[in-house]
Amino acid sequence: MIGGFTKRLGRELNDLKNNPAVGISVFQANDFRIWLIDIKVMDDNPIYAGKTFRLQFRFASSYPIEAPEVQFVASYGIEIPVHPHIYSNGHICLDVLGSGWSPVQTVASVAMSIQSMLAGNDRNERPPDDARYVAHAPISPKNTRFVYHDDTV
Amino acid sequence: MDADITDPSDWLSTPLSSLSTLDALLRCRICRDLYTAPMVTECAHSFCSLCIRKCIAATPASEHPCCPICRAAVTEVKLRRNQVVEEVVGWFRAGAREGLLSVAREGGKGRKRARVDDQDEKRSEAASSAAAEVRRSTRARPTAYVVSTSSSTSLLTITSSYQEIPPSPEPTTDGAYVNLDDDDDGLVPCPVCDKRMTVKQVTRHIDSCLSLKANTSSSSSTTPSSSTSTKPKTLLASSSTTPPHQKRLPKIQYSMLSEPKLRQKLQDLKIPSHGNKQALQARHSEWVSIWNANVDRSVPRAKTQLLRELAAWEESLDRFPAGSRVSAEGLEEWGVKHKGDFRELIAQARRNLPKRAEAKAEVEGEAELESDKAAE
Ligand SMILES: [Zn+2]
Ligand SMILES: [Zn+2]
Ligand SMILES: [Zn+2]
Repeated sequence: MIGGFTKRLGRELNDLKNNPAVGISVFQANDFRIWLIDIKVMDDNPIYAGKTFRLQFRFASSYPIEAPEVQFVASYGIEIPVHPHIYSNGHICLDVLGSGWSPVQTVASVAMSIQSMLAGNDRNERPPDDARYVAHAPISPKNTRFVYHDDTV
Repeated sequence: MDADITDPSDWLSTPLSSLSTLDALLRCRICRDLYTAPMVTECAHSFCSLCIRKCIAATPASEHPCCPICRAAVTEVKLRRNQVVEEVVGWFRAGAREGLLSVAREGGKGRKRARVDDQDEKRSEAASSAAAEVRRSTRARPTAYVVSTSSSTSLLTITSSYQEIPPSPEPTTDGAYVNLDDDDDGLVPCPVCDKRMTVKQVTRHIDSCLSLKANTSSSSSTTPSSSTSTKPKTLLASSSTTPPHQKRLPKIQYSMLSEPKLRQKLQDLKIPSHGNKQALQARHSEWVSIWNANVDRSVPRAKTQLLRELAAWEESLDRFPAGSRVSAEGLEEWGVKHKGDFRELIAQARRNLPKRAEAKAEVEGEAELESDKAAE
């Protein structure tokens, strides 16, 4: 698998464009470093209804052996979704992005996990330690050792 | 940037859309490429040797490596070669894929003689425009694809156990069957060399035609057609010219080694030995994966090729570093400075190589480099 990771990302990009999952679309993917993926929550969860959120994926050459770095980014008219596992700086506490990563996961599968994490949420609130975390958070969420909350939220 | 990447979806726009399932089944779930030296795990999942070895190498020392698909524990020494998959992929990659795909695409264009019954047309409206002339028999006879073009009709018997493969996600063309009786000469072209022959002949001919093609394109001195056994020559061709490095490299407990000792290990292996301990460790680990995965190939590549692969890895490390701790400019400078190391080592390895082995490996290597470039 020489050149493996750009080749694989090329395939993933084709897939994302040709067979997109409902509510997931590529906003920008000009290279193999950073992609911006827009997601919408499809069921009528009142917390996220009508809103589009933007995920930023950063890839290293170790992808997909190592997880990509994934976080929400704010932009004009685009906010960081409110969720008990999503910090206001966009960092996401989700095991698939850390210890739960497997190289058979894809950008699409990660986006879908996050989409369903939003869909299943009924608490319109930030994590309890949001202020403390955001004040001291590393630039990359991958350098945070999240203690994963249980998934029943 | 994505034009030349082969993908299971390549079949979807053709009348042979079901072959996308076969195409997907022959790919490693980690790299999404056709398997290279497939290895089967204890949990019976398969991955390229290099992919699963890298995966295991990347597992933190505090954890037990696990299968990327099912998370069952995986032990590197218990990996076994998946010979039959390797042979199927070898056949597929050596030209069968390309040949079948071009036949399929041809079939999609000329649809003069298609006979479509109404019921079927209703069922697969989306597919009907491209796929009308291909119908898969679902009756008791062997499963066959029939592709009509304006000038010829070819019949490819894929496999009689086709029905076991799950259906493709596309609207399929199940159900109907096109008779061959309106043929002009009764002959069909070989999808590889285009020679016309009877349907019976072509199924037997394709194998020998493919291995012939593989042999002539690799220009190595392989055994001529005398060994027409059931074993594919493409895989066995150069067993006599295999470079003599069949021994796996052991893993190292890096925490037990001082930086100078580790550097010495890299020098002994004749791989670049610059950089700090972290760089040495990463390079050594990568080399062990590359080397051991090469041992798993039925036709191992020459060391020059492995060194090039290591160089490519190091270059992508520079271009796509993890995290943002070091500035991109600094890394690029570093890459340029040390590129000479690899060039010298590759030249050295080439000088030491037996002549015939080199010829073989070089051709292989080039093909691979080309497909890489195409991927970018
Ligand atoms: Zn692979
Ligand atoms: Zn498994
Ligand atoms: Zn032929």
